[in-house]
Amino acid sequence: MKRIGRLKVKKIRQNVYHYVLLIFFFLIFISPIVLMILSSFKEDEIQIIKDMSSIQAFLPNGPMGFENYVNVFQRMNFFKFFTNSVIITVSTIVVGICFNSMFAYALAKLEFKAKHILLPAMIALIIVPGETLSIPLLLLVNKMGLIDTYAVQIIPFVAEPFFIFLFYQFFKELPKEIMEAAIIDGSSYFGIYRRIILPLSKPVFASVIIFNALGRWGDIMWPVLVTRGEDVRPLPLAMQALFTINRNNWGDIFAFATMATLPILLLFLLFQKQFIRSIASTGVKG
Amino acid sequence: MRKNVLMILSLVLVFTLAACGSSKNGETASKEAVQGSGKKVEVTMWRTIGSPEEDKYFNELVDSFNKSQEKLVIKQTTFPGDTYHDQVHAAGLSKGLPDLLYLDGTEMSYMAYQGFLAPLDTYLPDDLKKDLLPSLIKQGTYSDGKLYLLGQFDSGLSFWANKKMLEQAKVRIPKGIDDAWSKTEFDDALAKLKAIPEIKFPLDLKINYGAGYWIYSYLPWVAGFGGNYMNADTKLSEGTLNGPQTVEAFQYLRTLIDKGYVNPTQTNDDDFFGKKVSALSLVGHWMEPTHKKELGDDAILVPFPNFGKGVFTGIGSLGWTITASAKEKGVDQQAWEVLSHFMSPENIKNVSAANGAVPARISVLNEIPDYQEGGRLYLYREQLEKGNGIVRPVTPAFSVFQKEIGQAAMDIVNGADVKGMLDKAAKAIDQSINDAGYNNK
Amino acid sequence: MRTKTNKYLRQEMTAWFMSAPALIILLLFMIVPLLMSVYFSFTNRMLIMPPHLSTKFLGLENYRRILEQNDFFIALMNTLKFALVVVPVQTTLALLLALLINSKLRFIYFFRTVFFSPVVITMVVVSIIWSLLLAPGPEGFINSFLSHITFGAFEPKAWLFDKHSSLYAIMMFSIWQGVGFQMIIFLAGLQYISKDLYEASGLDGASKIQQFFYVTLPQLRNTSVFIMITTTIFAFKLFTQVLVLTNGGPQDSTLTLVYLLYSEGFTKMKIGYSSAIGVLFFLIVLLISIVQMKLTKVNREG
Repeated sequence: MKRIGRLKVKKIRQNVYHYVLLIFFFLIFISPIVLMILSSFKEDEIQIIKDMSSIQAFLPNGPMGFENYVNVFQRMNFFKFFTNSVIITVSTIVVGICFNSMFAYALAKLEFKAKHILLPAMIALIIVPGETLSIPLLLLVNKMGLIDTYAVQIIPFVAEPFFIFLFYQFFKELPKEIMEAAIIDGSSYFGIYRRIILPLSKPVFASVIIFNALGRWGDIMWPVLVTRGEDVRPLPLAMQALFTINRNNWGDIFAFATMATLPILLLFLLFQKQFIRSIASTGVKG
Repeated sequence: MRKNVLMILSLVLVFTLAACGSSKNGETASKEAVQGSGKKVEVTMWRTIGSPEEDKYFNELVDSFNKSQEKLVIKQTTFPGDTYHDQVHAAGLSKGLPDLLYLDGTEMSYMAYQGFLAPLDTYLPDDLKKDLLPSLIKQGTYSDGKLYLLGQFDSGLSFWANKKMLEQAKVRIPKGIDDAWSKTEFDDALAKLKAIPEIKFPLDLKINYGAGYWIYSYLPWVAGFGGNYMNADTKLSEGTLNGPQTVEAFQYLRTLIDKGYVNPTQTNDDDFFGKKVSALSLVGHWMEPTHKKELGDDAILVPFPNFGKGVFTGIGSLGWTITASAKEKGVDQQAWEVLSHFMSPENIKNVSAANGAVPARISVLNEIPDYQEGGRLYLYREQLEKGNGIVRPVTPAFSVFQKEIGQAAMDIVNGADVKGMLDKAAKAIDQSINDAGYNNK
Repeated sequence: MRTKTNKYLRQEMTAWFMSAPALIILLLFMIVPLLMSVYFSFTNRMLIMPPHLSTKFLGLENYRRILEQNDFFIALMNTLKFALVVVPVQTTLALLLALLINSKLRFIYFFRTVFFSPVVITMVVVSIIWSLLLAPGPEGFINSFLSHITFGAFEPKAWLFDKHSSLYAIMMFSIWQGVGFQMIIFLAGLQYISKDLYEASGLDGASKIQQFFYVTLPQLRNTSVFIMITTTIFAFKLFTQVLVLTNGGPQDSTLTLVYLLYSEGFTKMKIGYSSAIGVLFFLIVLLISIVQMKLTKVNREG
């Protein structure tokens, strides 16, 4: 009886420590985000700057309201840019996972001669920093007449050595026996990929999708080079319009940033269980 | 899973179609507009997105022009300012420049050098030319002697001063450029201001604007010491940027910091108008609305001191160019027609009302009370009209000048060796110029 | 025999058919630009060729000059310094956070989401927020906070304005932004570890700490290697923070390789020279990766 009591006390004490630590990190991670969101509602521009030096930065202060949001919508076609970013990100991901996983499947599961050259070459390509290639790439897409389209923001990114490698690692671990059984049943190699490998590989897809989405959603350097008009302009570039050389309207900037961030955060909140479970069984597993 | 794959594929299809569809739609729509309404000629126009007020002005300008016109239609595209010139360069590379192009005055040199621009001299009528502030011609003329850039306004740059503080410190308030402070008087004024407890840093140099600002803001002072950034003859920086006068000017900047007159790590914008810990602010016309709102009549203009070689001010702002490709397409006359509409007295008045800059035409200046002798903003007009404006290096390598000088200035502010930093900047600039062959003939 | 050849042929065909889309894209948008880059690195190519200049072959001139000048060396050292601090710190912190959130406590999903949330904020916004918080002088929030909790003992720092602290300030919020992602991967790794292992070691009388060192860590080996390698790659790409906040200053203290490449290529438009930097950069990262892979392999065999 006494022993159980002691255990219980110990357990509670442990939980308290645990929560204290959690709350400590919680504050560190949430504060700047609270600052972003709260500032987006502060209507007095000068108030925002003044608040930055004190705890007021994280508290409502002065007139609060939706004025900054109204401003953003008045100053630009936010929905258009948001849609552009969604189109670019989603298309890159969708086409990308098809292309990358097919190539990875061929490398991992099929016998063909070139494989022994392609695999190491591909691994070497992982470390090429994309930024170093942007200028030759610009000259190239210009020759192809792709400037100022969605395509130019999608196509060059649908094959990504790093993602191919992630898929490859995962596929490699799948037991050979499944394939052999399917072959005996008369299935084609593509059929095996589609009917057997893909259903088993949902986890690795989840991690590639997240990796890819984060990279594409925030990219700014490439759109600067290859887009011209507003028709295909993505969010991060559109946001630059709020930075004027001599006077930044912080309220508008934070309102924009909040609107660009919250949808993704919401997605994560909704799907985090599936997401974590899926990574748990990918190629990066313990 | 098969269903998923199908769904994914159809999604791709939809998006691709949407992508192709929307861009095609855009094209046909504009072409139809051209043909549908009695063959209107289309003039394409690019500009940066400035402040909300300025943005609104331009949108209304374009709309009203398009409605009033039978023959012409402006098709404008707007760009974020920070990355605008990168996008313009990329467009130059891909031969995708519009007919009418809004440029920072300093960027004109590079674009003219590359042959992207058409000279405006042939279009510009004499009566308009005579009515323009001389600084606009100075700024818009490339080293081949031709005019490529026409601004609707120029910038005003001097001190904004807090009158109450100057009076409290018993500092003489100069009325115009002719009775600007001497260097000794200025040093004395700073010392007196510093002695007032509320004034933590008498001088607000807008260090929070970052490295890019120095090439504009500090040039008048450098010129006051007799220095410059670029040698006008060799078009190089060696011996000028790191010459004794310029070094002395930057040495002086160090002294100001060492004496505690300037906050070397300034990050907020409101030292002068909000916190009121500064009495003088080295900033241009764009702060006029804010200063008026926050300080009222206490915010006054004061000329820069005479550091020995005279009183100078910075000039240059955004302006309009007609591209060489407009000429090739044969729409240069039409582009000029649009531009001359922009330059009408009424439109110039409106743009200045929207962004606070100094109107380009003297006839417009004559109508505005603030710009008459004794008026609040007269100093801006006086220094531009009397030719005290000094133009930033007119060279295709301007962006290199801006980057290297800005970096050197920031490092000097942070305590680095003055001569060493300027030597380093000069070397880097000249090397870039030689590599690019900008001075080859 | 015939069926075997047939089967092999079929495999070979399918393999090519399935590799083709990705291969074509990689060839066109990666290999070709890479080769162009290598070619440019031996020439005086400018972004837009000026009218008075033609593209000339310079041999190794660009490389010679890079090695002669300090910039590249400084940028390389800064980049290495950034990676050497960020990779171990971020990995360790990620593991710690993963252990914290790998529990069934109430509200744990909420904590997970919050810890992860900085990851989805774009770097431009993150940089801006932190530059406001890191404002120098006693008015800066971080400064005033640190001075409060140390009862005034903390001297306000200039953070991004001081060449001694600028890179560390960038490291700090870069870790803040990125650690959530590694945390989730570690969490996934932790959840994959079989409960039996803990039960068995528990029966053997192992303490929590012993369990961590003898069960958890070895089981997370591959996860850790993966995280270290990807973090290294990300660390070498340090750019946005520098572009938004410091432009490489003060006094080159935050000059990184990608930023140098950008400023030579875009601001100065010297494509030849910046391509040469890119090639050297690639070779260095290649070397580091090979060493990293060799090391982890040696470990595995040992």
